[in-house]
Amino acid sequence: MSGFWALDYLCLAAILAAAVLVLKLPNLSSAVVALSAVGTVLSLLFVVLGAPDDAHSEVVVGAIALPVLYLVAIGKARADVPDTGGLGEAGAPAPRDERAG
Amino acid sequence: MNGLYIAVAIAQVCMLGPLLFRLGRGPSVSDRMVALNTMATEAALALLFFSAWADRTVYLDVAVWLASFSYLGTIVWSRYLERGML
Repeated sequence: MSGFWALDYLCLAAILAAAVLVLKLPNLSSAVVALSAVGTVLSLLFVVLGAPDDAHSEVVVGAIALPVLYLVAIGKARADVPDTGGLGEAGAPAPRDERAG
Repeated sequence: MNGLYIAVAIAQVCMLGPLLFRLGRGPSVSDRMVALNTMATEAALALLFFSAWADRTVYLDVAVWLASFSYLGTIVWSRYLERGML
């Protein structure tokens, strides 16, 4: 197996692992982080397969804009609906109860 | 020299494995964010060595975009973790 195909299959394995992480992570923010990882490694696979323009759009949209869009949606949902538990694990942002009241 | 380039690129992509492990196992969102930023840096380095192996300078633009925009994404994540919303 040449080096090109080794790089190809390694990128495919990383994309598969990150996609499984998107499904399996219990926390919402962690799943969005894993989604951004899918976009990053997918742009790497696009370059390896010889499509750098697709890799451009995948970096901007899939790795950055889509997770930020998810973050805006999650933040707005948490701001509208009274939520008490934060993100449910250590290191999560504290709920701002005085603002929602 | 040409084989060294693709070998370094493969080594960089192999380093995505432990980072994905940390992204899945990390106890806090901050650990996952740092793992994601390191993944973007590793991917940009792999892109540099792959473009040197393939002898195409078009691939260097993707590395520049990946480095700069992963930085912006990490800033947005930090703001989200600090304030609870964007």
